[in-house]
Amino acid sequence: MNDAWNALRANRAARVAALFLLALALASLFAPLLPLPSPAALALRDRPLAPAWPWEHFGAHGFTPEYWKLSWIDSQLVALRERIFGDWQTGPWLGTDAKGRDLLARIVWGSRTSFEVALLASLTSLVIGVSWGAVAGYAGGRVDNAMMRFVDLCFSLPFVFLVIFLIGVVNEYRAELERDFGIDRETVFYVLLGAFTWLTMARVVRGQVLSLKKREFVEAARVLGASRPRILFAHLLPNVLPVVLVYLTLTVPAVMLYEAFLSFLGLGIEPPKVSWGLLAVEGAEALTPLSFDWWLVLWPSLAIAATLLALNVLGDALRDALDPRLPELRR
Amino acid sequence: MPRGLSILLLGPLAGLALLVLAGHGARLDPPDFAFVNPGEVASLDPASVTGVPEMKVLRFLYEGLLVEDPDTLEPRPGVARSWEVSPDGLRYTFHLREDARWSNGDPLTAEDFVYSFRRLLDPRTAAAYAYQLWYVKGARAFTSETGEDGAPRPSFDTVGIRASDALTLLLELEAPTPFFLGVLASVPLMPVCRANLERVQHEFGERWRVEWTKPAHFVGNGPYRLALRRVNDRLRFVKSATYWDARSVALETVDCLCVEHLETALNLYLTHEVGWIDNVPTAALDALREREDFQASPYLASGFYRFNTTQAPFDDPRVRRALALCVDREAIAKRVLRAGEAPNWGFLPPAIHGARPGALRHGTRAQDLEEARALLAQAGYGPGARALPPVEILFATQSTNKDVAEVVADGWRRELGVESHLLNQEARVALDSQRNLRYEVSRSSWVADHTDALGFLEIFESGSENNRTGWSNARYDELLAQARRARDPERARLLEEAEALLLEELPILPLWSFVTRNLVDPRLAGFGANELDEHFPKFWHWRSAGAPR
Amino acid sequence: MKRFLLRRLLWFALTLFAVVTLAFGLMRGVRGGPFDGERPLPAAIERNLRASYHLDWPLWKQYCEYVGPLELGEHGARALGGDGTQVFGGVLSGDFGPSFRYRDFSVNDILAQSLPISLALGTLALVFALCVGIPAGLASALLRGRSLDVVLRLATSLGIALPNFVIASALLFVFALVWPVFPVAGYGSWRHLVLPAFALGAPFAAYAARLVRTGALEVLAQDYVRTARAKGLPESRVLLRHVLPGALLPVLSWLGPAAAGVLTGSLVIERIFAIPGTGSHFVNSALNRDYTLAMGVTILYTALVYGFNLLVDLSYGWIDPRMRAGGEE
Repeated sequence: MNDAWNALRANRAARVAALFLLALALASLFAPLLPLPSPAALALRDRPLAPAWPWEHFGAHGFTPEYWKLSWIDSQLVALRERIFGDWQTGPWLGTDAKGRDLLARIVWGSRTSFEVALLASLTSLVIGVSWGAVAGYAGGRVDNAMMRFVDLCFSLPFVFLVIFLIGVVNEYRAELERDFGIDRETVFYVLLGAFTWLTMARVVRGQVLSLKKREFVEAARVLGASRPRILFAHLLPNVLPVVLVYLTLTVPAVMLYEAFLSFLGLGIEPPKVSWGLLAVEGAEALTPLSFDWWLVLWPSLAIAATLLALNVLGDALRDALDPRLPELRR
Repeated sequence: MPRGLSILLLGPLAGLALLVLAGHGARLDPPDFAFVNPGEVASLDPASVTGVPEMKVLRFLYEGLLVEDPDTLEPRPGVARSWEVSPDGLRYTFHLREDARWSNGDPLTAEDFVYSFRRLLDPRTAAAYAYQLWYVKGARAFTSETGEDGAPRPSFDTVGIRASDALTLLLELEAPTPFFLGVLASVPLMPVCRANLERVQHEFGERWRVEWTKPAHFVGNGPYRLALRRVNDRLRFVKSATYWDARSVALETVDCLCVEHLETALNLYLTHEVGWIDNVPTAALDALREREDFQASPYLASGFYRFNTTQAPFDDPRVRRALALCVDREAIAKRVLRAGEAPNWGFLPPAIHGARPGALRHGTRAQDLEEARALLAQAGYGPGARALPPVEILFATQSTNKDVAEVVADGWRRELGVESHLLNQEARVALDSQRNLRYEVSRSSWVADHTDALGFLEIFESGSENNRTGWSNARYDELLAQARRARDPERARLLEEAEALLLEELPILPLWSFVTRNLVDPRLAGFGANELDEHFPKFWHWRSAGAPR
Repeated sequence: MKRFLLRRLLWFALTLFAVVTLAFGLMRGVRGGPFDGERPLPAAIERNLRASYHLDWPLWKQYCEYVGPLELGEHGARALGGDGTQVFGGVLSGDFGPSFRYRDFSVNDILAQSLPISLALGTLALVFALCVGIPAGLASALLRGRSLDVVLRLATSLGIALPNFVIASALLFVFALVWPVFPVAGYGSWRHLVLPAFALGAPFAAYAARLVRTGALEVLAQDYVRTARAKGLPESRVLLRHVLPGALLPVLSWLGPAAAGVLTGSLVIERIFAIPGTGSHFVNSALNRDYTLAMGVTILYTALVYGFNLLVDLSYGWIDPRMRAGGEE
């Protein structure tokens, strides 16, 4: 393990990617503390404001502490921010939308939704997807068949109906759910998204396990009398990990975009909250041959792309570092 | 291995062949004119019409007793050559023209109208717009009172629709209805060819419904006939040789493209693929507003919020009024909607006769806000008293709805200190919530069927399916009932009084009145601009004698 | 082999039954009905309309009518209301019924018109995705760490991360508006399909490239590849015989469902390019509460997912002989 850690640290690209992700995570977590304009306060304009370089418009005094309903911690952070920066806020470095809301602020705040979605979906596809696929692939026969047909079934259900239905049910009891369980519509929505993403992961892992379990080292372990769970967890899963990691880096952006799609249909997060996907969708809407407000679509897309790139680099490095059989390939 | 690979590669190749095939079947000559319809037509059957997409298309294929002037909406002769109205406004006599024909060559008679109207009213047809004919004596009962087998209980003889000879149609109304000629020109009241319908029913049995609107079987009486129909893609109309006024129909072929995405429609227009789109993306409005081919003219439709008046605190008219006064309508119209929509402080669109678009407003916004705060204080909310609980604004998912809601919520918080929560629901769920009064404040709009105030005001009558606010007022109901029986100027006065009462009680929060958002090829003449945004293809022609592109 | 296919067919029938039943219940459980509009129908008319589509029947009866070629109703469904009655054979007889929203079409009509278009577009996109993705992934793996690898990985990351509507908008802008070589939208000739196929295929190409790269790296480290190389087999032979099959394995598991998804169309791409494919029906039928159409596309999708997964499972055996006995014994 130490070995792997050192290998990871030695990889410069991975270091940069990790730092980038860390910075993003911090900015996202401490968004209320940053001297950004409020992402929700309206200042209606005729046209979206184009980006201004920091040296053209560094910032101004004019911060209004208007947000959506914030949690206790977040409102404390906002108060702290007002203590530190007063009413100073950054200029429109990335431009604003037609309602005068700062795009940088919306991207930073929107990252919270997108990260939550990504984390939750990754977790479910890791936990449920990997174990489901591994068990099915390893057990084989009838068990495998039944488990995979269940996946097929879930895959085929009309997802939009499912979402409308469940969101409808949640809406019905939204007051009770929030009061008694502290669950809001968004939490349910995230879980739903996650519950959907594990399906392909299960298929991928099953395919890998099917192929691996006939390999020599598994046979060897079996001959040596290793128990089934031990073979599964100690021998098979580590070898599946590379593909799982790569697939995970594919799942994350897919889920982010799916969230945007559902929010667009009115089945996802609720305004004035935002997410990266939603920002990109709205930006693409504002892009016509007659109104070339490129910044509205470019920055959110870039945010998604950059995050994903960092994830990929890190994922690859992690894969190499953890891979039990590739020491000579390490750089 | 190679076998597996070859499957992987052969599959796609087979698909490619398919692609070539699909491409071949789809070759079409370019039309003289094309326009965009925002959704697939639900049906070409006038009795099954449900909304805007059908209204745009059916005027190509059918013609009613009357048509309307594309600019003034004055009734003009259609299948009826002339008509008379009795002095009491109850009896209408239509004289049909002798040269009116179906597209299969058969003559069109008064019996065809009797059949079509009867079919529209028959409960077994289940026509959504049957109520358009309920102004006719006995018609409402004919649709609503059904027997065990679903057939109407009253005999059709009790309905005031009769053909006195092959070319004379008599209609008898329940009450004088000043806008009835407009109703007769509307799409649901267009005639269908009985002989053809029965032929198809006989030939195809149960499948007739999906067969008779296919180009091969379709028979209409409009300026165009149906040449091609591909679902979600395209309808092609070709000038009809049997139309009585074929001489004045200028365009030979017209295509109607189904394009849902606004940006796509705009791209098609800007690349001259189509010559008319009926809505444009909000982001493009700044560039469009100054262009001569962009038509933003008053449109008889109102945007407003409903209050659920059965629920505290919205059962208190003072709270409703305070919230209504506080909204910055100018900002919504100018900065959010942006096509030239008019802020409305009354319910009726200003273009409607007798509207009072300034009714709610004081001189300045400051005064409005002052009254709003005072009203809230009177109702027992605000500084020093309990705060108004957070208001939930429900709207169907759509970006404009969201934008408006954000501005409204922003105003309430800023000016009244009232917090609100935006709840967007999928369109049909939102409607369901409205209908069952499972909301607090909810976004709505109303589009006129005809250019009369009654159509707008009667939606808030007690027991109306459109009320959806829980509000009910005996005086209001009485005023409307009287107006239905009265004639102008008494009628106008009663309607005005009703609107005043509505605005005093405010079960709704009026916001703005719509404008059209047509982008039309400037070379197209006869397109017209009217308050119902209705367009009549028979009048379309190129401005100069020069050939189209 | 025959037994395997037979068993699969049985499972397919079972899955389909479960999907149909669940989806049917789900649809009827959703609030709002097919005849709701901004202006609600007068109660009498709504009652008539519901009756004419048998929505006033108890749910089980509607379900039976939908599924089976059964004669229901007191005197058989045919007798139930003459003119307005919608009688259809039921799914089992291959009739998906009338569409609730597009009343001039049966669901069979709609699918017959839109599916070939989606298939054409999807195939084009898949061909593009595989032709670009697999070589790119292989090259990336073989030249691991070199500049080409870096460039390719950057490109694939962009392909995966950029939303397809952004890619579509960019393509439209460049190739249809600034330099008008392709039409902006619509359907009619092969030229209409180029941009959408590219936009639809781009993320899949990127996916394929990444999965192939990973798979190839896995295989390259295996003993048998090293042995093959050590034996002095020509590099091309090593690649084709040993590396490629292993590299394709992860692609395959993903390709099954992905192909079903691509071939049934994509709502976003179809909207942007105004392509009359099946993709938009998946979402629109749900939003319109067009129960029969929604069931139709669900069944279609189930069949496709199942068919492709079957193909994938079969090709596991072909690609990796060690798995042939596995999984299904």
